[in-house]
Parts: sequence; structure tokens; C-alpha cells
Amino acid sequence: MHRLPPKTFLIVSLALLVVALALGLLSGPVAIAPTRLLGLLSSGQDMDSRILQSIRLPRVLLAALAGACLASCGAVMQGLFRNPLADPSLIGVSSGASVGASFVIFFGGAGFLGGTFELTAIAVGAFVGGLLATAIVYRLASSVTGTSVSTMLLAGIAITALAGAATSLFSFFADNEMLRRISLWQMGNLDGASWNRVAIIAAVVLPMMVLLPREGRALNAILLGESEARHLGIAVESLKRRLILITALGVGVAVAVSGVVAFVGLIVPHLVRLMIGPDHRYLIPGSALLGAVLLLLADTGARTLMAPSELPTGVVTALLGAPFFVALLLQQRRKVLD
Amino acid sequence: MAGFRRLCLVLLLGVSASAECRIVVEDDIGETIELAHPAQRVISLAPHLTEVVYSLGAGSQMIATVAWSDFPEEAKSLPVIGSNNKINYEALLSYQPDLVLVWLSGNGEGIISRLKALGLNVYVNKPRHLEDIPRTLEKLGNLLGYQEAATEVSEAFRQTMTELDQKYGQQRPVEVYYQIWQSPLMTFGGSHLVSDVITLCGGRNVFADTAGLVPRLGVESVLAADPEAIIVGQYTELDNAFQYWRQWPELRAVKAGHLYSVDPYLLHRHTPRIVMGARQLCEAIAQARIE
Repeated sequence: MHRLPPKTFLIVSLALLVVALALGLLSGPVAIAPTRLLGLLSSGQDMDSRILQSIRLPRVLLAALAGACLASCGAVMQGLFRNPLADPSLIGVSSGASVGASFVIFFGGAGFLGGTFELTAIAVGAFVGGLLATAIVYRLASSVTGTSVSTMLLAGIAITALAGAATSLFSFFADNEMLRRISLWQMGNLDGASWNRVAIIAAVVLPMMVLLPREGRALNAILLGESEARHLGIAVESLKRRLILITALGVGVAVAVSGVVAFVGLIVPHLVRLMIGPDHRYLIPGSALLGAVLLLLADTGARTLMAPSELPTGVVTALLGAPFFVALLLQQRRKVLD
Repeated sequence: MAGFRRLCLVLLLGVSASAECRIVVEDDIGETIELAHPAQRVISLAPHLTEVVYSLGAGSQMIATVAWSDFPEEAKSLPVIGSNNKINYEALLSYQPDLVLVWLSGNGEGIISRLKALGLNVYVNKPRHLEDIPRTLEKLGNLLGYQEAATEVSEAFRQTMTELDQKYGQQRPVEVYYQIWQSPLMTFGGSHLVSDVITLCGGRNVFADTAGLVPRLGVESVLAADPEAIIVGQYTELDNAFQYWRQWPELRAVKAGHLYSVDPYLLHRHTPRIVMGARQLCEAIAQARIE
């Protein structure tokens, strides 16, 4: 497969994102004519404009922001660990976030918390959980000689198992109401989209989109190896700490507002790498854009494929992304054989 | 009385006559259960089956059950051997049941085949329609030796159904959205028993054609369906549900104020008590029909 010039790819992805946003806004059980879209978004008190403003718009924005966040975090993790399997869920961030959120739901009680405050508390819980899990994994894998990637992945698997057990234990002791909340939340649903959630995730993702691509050069150097990067003048340990903190924050918040949406963080960076190569200066923004597009399309599918019922978004991300990914791999192998 | 019969083989052996009567009942998935005597040690793996046994007056033959078997009051003192999808098989065997009552959609096929592999008599219940309730009563009555009570209770049940049907069934159909969960929104599909009750009351479940027994919905689907009445059968957060829908005054149900609630503890269990829930639902639908 031909590699695309990175800038072209970014422009095309941006155009795709606009198309996906429009598609997301226009699809739904209530038919809305495309020509009325802009008018309805900007004003109006009738039902169609309220459907757009209070149901569809927050939902497509949430999907786009969560997709961008997960995919760019995945790209950073894969670069940092120089491992194609690194993924926020693999090194324990997602499951740590999941435990943190369950902890808040469990000890917060059913009637005690409510509304925005509850959501913020769950987000904070998810962030702290994700950060703790990452910190433990990182500690375990670090020694005087640096950070061992394989130890880190193994530690991630152990932490994930432990966190899974803790979450199950919370569910076991939870009463009916808490159990409902925990399991709903674990399903990874975007249907709880609201302006509050969009605000929370935007507050994290937008600064992240500015900060992460700046580390592109350093991540490129890390691809050569940690000591090589050090010789090139990169402060490797502080870079690692910074990036791990940012990804823990990003994944924690994404998990808090949209549940655990697997797959996006792992596959999207690979897709982008196959298309434009491994330069992190373009890989990170490219992954963010494509992640947003993928999650948006998947969520639009989840809302409309089985209408009037809704599918879990994670099911659609996998159904949509996996075959595409396999096709790309096959194509690449054919090119190598030729 | 289809589905079961009593086999009596009278064997004449010289001067003494011995009669052997076996109870043969076909369960809801077409499997045959044969008992030499009415079951005396019964374990129920579903709250509604526990309740049905008590409604026959055969509660003394119940020896254990699962979580949430909370009606009638006496059922709460039964030992609990698990929940709907997790059964402690050792505990179950230690009670030496001669009949286990299983709910297909609640317990699942895995539990059924496991129980059968353990050599137990298993009755599988799969209620989908209102007529399945008296049928279950009769089958259990036969298995437990309470035929008369079963006939009585099921006749009363059928009579109420006929009465409700005559009173409401022929009226102008009202389009109903029945909500069981607020976030995410959930309703009952057409194959659920409650959808049957809606029809009986002269209503039309707007999501009757949606795939699945308990479909998850998007808000917009309800807005697009624009029901005449919103009936909420939620265990919690009733006020939230009403408040939520009042945000959409364009809906016919909201405009005319046809937001109602029914008691899910009555309506969602496949037991004779469903007639009380059905009455509530019929009255709510009748209210919505007035304007």
C-alpha cells in the first residue's frame, strides 16, 4: 500500500471528520432534512431543533472527543513502550479507571450523589484509579537500568486481573441500584451523552491535543531505543512520566464519561501508521482525527442499525474496525511478497 | 387440559389389585416429566414460580428457592440456594428435591442441562402470553397434587382476563409506550407478557415490532413513535421519569398529561397477581382514551 503524504492524510481525515459529524447529526429515528441542519442548530425552540441541540449534538461531540482521546493515547503508549500491543487497556489504565469509578459508585451510595456532581466524582474516581494502576505498573517495570517493556506489559496484565477482580467484588456486594449503575457504566455507553459530559471531556482532550503532538519528536527518538534517545538529548524519564500522566488522565476521563470503549486505542494508531508511517508528529494528530471518525461512525451505527433499539457502541467499533484492519494487514503483506 | 395426563395402570394379579398412577406432564419446551407421586420436595429457581406454588396452597412442599423470592411473606423464610443465574448445585442436591422448577429466560439453558445431568426432575417454564399463566398453574397443580386448587385459581384468572377483555379490549386502541428503565431507556418488546397485557387493555405497544424481549431504546425513538400514553413500570426513579418526559411537551402523551405509573411488582411477574397489575394498566390506558 502506498503511503500517503502525512499532511494530505491529515486534511483528508479532517474532511472525513466533518462528514462523520454531519452524518451523525442527520441520522436518527426522527428524520431531519440536511438543508435544515444549520438553521436548527443555531436557533429554534421546536422539537427538531431541541432533538439536535440536546440529544444529537452532545452525543456526536462526546463520541468524537472520546474517540480522539483514546486513539491518541493509544498512539502515545505504543510509541512510549515501543510495542504495537500497548494499549491503555493492556497496561491497566482502563481497568484501573473502571475500579475507581465502581469504587465511587459503590461508596457514594445510590441516593447520595446526583447530577453533575456525581458525574464529576465518578470522573475523578476513574482518573485516580487509572493513574494508580499506571503508577503501580510503571513502578514494577522500572529499575536502575530503565524501564523494561515486557515487565511493564506483564505487570499490566496482573494489574488488569486484580482490578477486574476488585470490580467484580464491588458488583458482588452492591445492592440492586448500585449494581445497575456499575453494570450500565461498564457497558460503555455514549447514550448518557449530555453537555456536562462534553464539557468534562473537552476540558481534558482539547489541551491534550495541543500538548501531545509536541512530544512527537521525542517519541520518534524513543523509537530508536531509550539510551539512544538519551544520547540525542531527550530527558527520557521525565518524558515518560509526563506522557503516562497525560494518558492516565485522558483515558480516565474518557472511561468516566463514556464507559470502557475497547479497540479504538489499539487499532486506530496502527491504521494510521500503515497509511502514513511511524512519524509521531503526524501519527498522534492523525490517530486523534481517525479515532474521532471511527467512534463517531460506530456510534451512529449503534444508534441506527437496529433502530428503534440501540446496540452497545463497543460492539460496532469492533465490527467496523477489525475487518478493515485485517484488510490493511493483508494488503501490506502482499506488497512485501511482491 | 392439554399437556398432561395421568396414567393409571391397573394390574390385576390374582386376588390383590394394585394401582399404579404416574403423573405425566409436558413442560413448556416439550419435555416430558414423569413422577410416581406428586412432588413433595420442590425447589424453585425463579421468584414467580415460587409464588405460583404458594398460590396453589402448596407452599409446604417448597424446600428452597433463589434470591428475590419475596412473595408471599412465608416464601422469604425459605432457604436461598443462589440467584437466577448462579446456583449452588451442592446445596441444591443436599435438599434432595424431587422436582426443580426452572424459568427458561431467567435461568438459561446451561442451568437446565446441568440439572438434568444431575438426574433431577426438571420442569421448564417459558411464559410468553397471558394464557401461559393458568397453564403453568395447572401443570404445577398436577405435578404437586393440587389439581383442584389449580383449576380454581386458573379459572378465576381466566375469568378476570375475559372480564378485562370485554371491558377494554374492544375500545379504540391507544398507542402506549411502556417504560421499565430510565437510563438507558428500556421497554418490553412484542413477545413479552406485558405487551400481551397492553393488548388486552385495548392498547397498542408502540415498540411491539422491535427485536428482543427487553429492547434498549434511544430517546429519539420514543419521540418518533409519539405515543398517546407513557406508562412507567419502574422500581425506582419514577419522578425522574415523569420529569424527563415533561421536557418534551410536543409528545401527545405529555401534551394531554397521559403519564401514568403501574406497580412493576404486580405486572412484571408471571403469576396470578398479574391481574391486579393488569387492572392498573387497563385503567391507565382507559384514562388516556378519554381525550
